[in-house]
Amino acid sequence: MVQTEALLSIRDLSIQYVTRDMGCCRAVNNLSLDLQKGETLGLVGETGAGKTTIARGIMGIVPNPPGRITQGSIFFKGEDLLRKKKKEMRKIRGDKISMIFQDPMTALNPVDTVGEQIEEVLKLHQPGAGKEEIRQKAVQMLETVGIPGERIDEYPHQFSGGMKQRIVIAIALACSPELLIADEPTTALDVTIQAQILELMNKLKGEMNTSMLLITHDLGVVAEMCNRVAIIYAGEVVEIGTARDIFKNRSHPYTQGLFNSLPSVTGEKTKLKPIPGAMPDPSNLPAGCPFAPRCGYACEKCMAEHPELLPVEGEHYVRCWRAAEEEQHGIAAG
Amino acid sequence: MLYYIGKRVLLMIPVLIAVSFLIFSLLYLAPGDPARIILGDDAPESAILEKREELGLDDPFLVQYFRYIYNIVTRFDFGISYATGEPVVKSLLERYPVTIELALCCMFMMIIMGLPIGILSAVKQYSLLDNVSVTIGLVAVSMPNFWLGLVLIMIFSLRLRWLPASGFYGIKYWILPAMTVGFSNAASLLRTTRSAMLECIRQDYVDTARAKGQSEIRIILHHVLGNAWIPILTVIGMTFGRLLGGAIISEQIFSIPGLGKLMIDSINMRDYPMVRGGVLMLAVSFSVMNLLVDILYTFIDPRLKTQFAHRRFRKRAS
Amino acid sequence: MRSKNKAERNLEKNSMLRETFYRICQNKLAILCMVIFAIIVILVCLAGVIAPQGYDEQNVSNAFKTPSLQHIFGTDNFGRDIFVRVLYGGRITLLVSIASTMVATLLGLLFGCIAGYFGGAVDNVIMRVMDVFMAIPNMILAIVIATTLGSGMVTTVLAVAVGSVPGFVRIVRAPILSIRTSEYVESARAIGAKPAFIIIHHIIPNIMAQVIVQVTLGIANSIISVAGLSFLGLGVQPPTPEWGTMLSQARNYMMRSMYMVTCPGIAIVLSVISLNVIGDALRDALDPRLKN
Repeated sequence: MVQTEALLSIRDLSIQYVTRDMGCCRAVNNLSLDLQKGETLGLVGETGAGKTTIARGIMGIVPNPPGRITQGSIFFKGEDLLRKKKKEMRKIRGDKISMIFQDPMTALNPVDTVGEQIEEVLKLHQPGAGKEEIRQKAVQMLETVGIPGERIDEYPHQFSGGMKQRIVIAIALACSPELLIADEPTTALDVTIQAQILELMNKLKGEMNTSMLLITHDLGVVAEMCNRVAIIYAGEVVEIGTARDIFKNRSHPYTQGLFNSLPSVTGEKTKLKPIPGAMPDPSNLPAGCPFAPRCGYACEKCMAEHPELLPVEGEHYVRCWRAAEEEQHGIAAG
Repeated sequence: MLYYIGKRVLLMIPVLIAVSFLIFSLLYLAPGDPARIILGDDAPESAILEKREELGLDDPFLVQYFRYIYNIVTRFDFGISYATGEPVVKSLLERYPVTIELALCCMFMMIIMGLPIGILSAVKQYSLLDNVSVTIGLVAVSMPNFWLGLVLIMIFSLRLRWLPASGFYGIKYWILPAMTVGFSNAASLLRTTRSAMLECIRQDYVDTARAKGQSEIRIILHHVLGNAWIPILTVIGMTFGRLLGGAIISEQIFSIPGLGKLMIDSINMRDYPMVRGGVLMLAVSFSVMNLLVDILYTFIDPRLKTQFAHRRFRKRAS
Repeated sequence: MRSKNKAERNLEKNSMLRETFYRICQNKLAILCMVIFAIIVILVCLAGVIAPQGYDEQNVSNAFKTPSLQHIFGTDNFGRDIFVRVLYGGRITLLVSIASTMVATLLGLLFGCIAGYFGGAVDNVIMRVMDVFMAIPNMILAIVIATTLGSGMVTTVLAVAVGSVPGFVRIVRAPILSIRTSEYVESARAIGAKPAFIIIHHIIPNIMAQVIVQVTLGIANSIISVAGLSFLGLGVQPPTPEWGTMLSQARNYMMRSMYMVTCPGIAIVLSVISLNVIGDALRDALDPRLKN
């Protein structure tokens, strides 16, 4: 993994929220990730695993206070975003990196027309362009995402949820970004609309040659969209690999748990096996493996020592003592 | 849009009629025979009967009410003052500008002090500035303006002798009354602005704007304040009523010849036509102010704007 | 909390009360204000014990004294002890304010419940009448009522109460409109419960939290209105001591004594601040979502 190869590479990133009543809350811990040009990386995990915080960290919009990036670096095309000045960061946001938010119902400013909101990002990043040109581009963007251009002067409340998400996508892609961060883009939508939106994103991503970081807790979405998948638990990567690796050879007990809590459509009627317990309190993380308290295979070592991210095979890594050992045994046995 | 404004204006008319009816009947029930009030306690019975006849006091209540409204609408005639024998409307028109001037003055102070500090305090939540302004705001909201007025007079007029304690002859005379009423209202505007801003500052569209690379200042002024206007405007509109009420008290304290002082004086002299006219005028001003605020909403909130502009289109669509 | 429906919340009322109490205890300023208000109320209630001689003991030769051990707030123009008068005045001010808030609350609950529960024409009529009352600034409405009914304690209660009724009606009506169509109210109706029963057993417990907050803040507002009305000479009449009346008398002696102005004023400000803080703290405690 050479840094210059990857479009985005995160190294040892830690983000904390410090509040008066809650104390220090470690949302992201020593996280490292790479995203190659043109690929789609899925970040999968439960609510509260720190996925959104990672996205905000990359965008440089972690709410501060209470949030603070305590260590690490985020290289985007070889440059550390965390070392950039605010003003430089503003130039990158919306232009080179842009973001789609979870809830389209609230992501649009209710008092501006959708046209104004698309034009806003264009104006910021194409200062030379004339008024007419920007408006043309906004109309064109609307049509690209499948909304008739003549609705440009309407307000967000006049659109349905799916339409609003299309508009949010139009805003995010207006400047043809190199990296698109999509934070649960379909969670708030109906299933039929979900498929349309995913298809639209896939299509535009291909056309614009954009790389994508897709945050979701929906393994179905992952299967559809992602080249590679990172499973996030308690603010760290517990398993990462190609989508095929993860789906065929899930190694971390948490990943297995995620799959077991999915109802099966094809197979026989099996009982769902939800993962018992809840995420550890991020203000009070256990010393060992953060998943150990919920893990059926946990041993003493898991409770005491924090596992490393160890290779399973090829680009497939897992952060689990047992899985890593088993794999070696497996190799030895085979 | 015009349709909406027209509708609001028309809707205001029944309210105003009801207000006038309420005020008229309340003061109709007030103790004391008007004829006796005018002529004095030792007037002969025959003169009183004659006066009652002349004023139409023996007519049924409703007849008197409609005559009153009819005279206002057709001739802008609010009746004759019991105390001076002159038309009420003359005194009202003389005093009205003073009260409105004072209220606008207070409003100006309130907006100048309350709005920027409220915005800053929301943007820098939990900072020193925020804590200080929230504390001062709390104290100021809890301070009755008649007491603040007295304290200000004690400090600035009696002790320091910087500002005059009474009268209304120039800028110097305005400062204390405007502070008296403006201060507590500024505090309530500050509190509303702060909480309205805080409500909007954590919204997703603010993050969307950040993700676009928009600058913080533009985000605060355009995206946050743009959405916080509605509660802020409501408070400004509602406060106008409080300012009018407060104006009565500060006019009393600072001996300012406005409507409020006129009313209190008239109440003491049992000059009910004057009171009635004054209250009616203040109530109408308050209603007009609220109407203006309502109309302003439609310019600010597109949900209202489109509701009326695209009414037909929406019906078909749904 | 948010995802739970109202019925479940109702079942959890006990734990919710405990939680609310716990949250208020976290708020140190609120605790301080509760203590201050409690002290004010206790002192005011014990006025007769602290100063058995009453508020009218005059001693003209002893007028305009500055504070001393004997008269801790000094004396007024008649040589009466200001501290004692503030205590006795507090009785009237607080009593009248609380009474007027109670009247407003009851009327507000009544009309609000009727308007919200029955909706339609009834709602329309009630709300239009409220609009009329809202169209007249509170202070001015109070002045007109006080003028008509003449001055005195009972009329002050009414004059101040009428102006705050619309506020209560609105607070009560809005949640009822949404509770009215909730499933548990529908089911109560389905088993044949009468409106009055549904309102008392299902609706009022659900809006109590907002009402309590509004009552606390309402008393604070009433104190200012009552004192203001008396200050204008339209409320409680001298020689009965009342904070507003005392201030109005003090106006004439501002050159001679600052204590006549400051002491009753500080009593008002302290009571109002503590009630406002308690009200805000209650609101935050009952609905923690509002506090970001």
